[in-house]
Amino acid sequence: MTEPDTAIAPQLRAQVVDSMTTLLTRMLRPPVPVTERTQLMDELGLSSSLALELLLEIEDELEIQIDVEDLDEDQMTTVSDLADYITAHCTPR
Amino acid sequence: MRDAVRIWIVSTRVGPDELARHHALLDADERARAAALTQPATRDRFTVAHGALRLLVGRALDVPPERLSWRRGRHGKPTLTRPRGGPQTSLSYSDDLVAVAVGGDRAVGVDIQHPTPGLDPVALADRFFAAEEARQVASGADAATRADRFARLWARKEAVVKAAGGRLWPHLALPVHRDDVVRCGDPAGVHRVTDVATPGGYRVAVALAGDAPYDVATAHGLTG
Repeated sequence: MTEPDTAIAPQLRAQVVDSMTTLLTRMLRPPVPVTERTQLMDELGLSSSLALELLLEIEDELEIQIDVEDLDEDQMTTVSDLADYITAHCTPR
Repeated sequence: MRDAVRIWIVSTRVGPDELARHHALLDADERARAAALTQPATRDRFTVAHGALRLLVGRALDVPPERLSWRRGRHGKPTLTRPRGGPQTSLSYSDDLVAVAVGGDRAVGVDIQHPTPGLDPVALADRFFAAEEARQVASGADAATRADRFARLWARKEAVVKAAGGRLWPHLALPVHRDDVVRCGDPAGVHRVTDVATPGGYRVAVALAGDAPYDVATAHGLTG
């Protein structure tokens, strides 16, 4: 199933980034716009409980299930990093 | 003699003078981390949390607080590196309270959670926690009880994972609702977790490596 995945992944990733930036803006009301380069913990101060809520909201919005087993802090440095992780570790509901 | 861990619960709501005093205690790395936070309230909370950690650990060791150093490990677990051979420490903050734990030789993890308004504790527990814990959260009689049960479980999981120096995410389903002795998967090890009485609807848990019982002494404010 490699071929369909490579075709779908960029579109899904864009949806994840879009969803994440909207949710983070709503949840944390940061004074500067959230972009792909925004650092989740170091700039936004995202707590682990809010990160959990973020993942659940992304799952609901995009109708996916994210496998969190392999997730660690390195993959949550920026919006872009977490979007990469989610795109590579999710399945449709 | 039983091991002991001391816990301080400190408010991060301080005036500008106290904020400046905390900021003066931070090292260059901590100041840079504070400056990178875009929300002023989050930045001030970070400053007070790390200043309070320095004040309390410095006082416990009779060392000037600005001379303490920590090194952050693989998953963010800090180890006191100056002075060497010092106690195990842990720090957590949520909303406008900070929890600081100072133990002995056993690895320590502390976590404080304020039930977050808007968070759906039933949906979160149902999705990420073990089935029995999800049922416990969902069976709370009202919204406040459900949020409190979620915050308690979350604080206990975080405290254990922080003491273990592990990753939080693979341990979300780690059962912590019934037994105080909890077995972590990676890194493998046994930890004893304790609920700490805290005012204002917050939930605090502390965990120490190993299954031996220990005493917990709690103080509120920097003077305790």
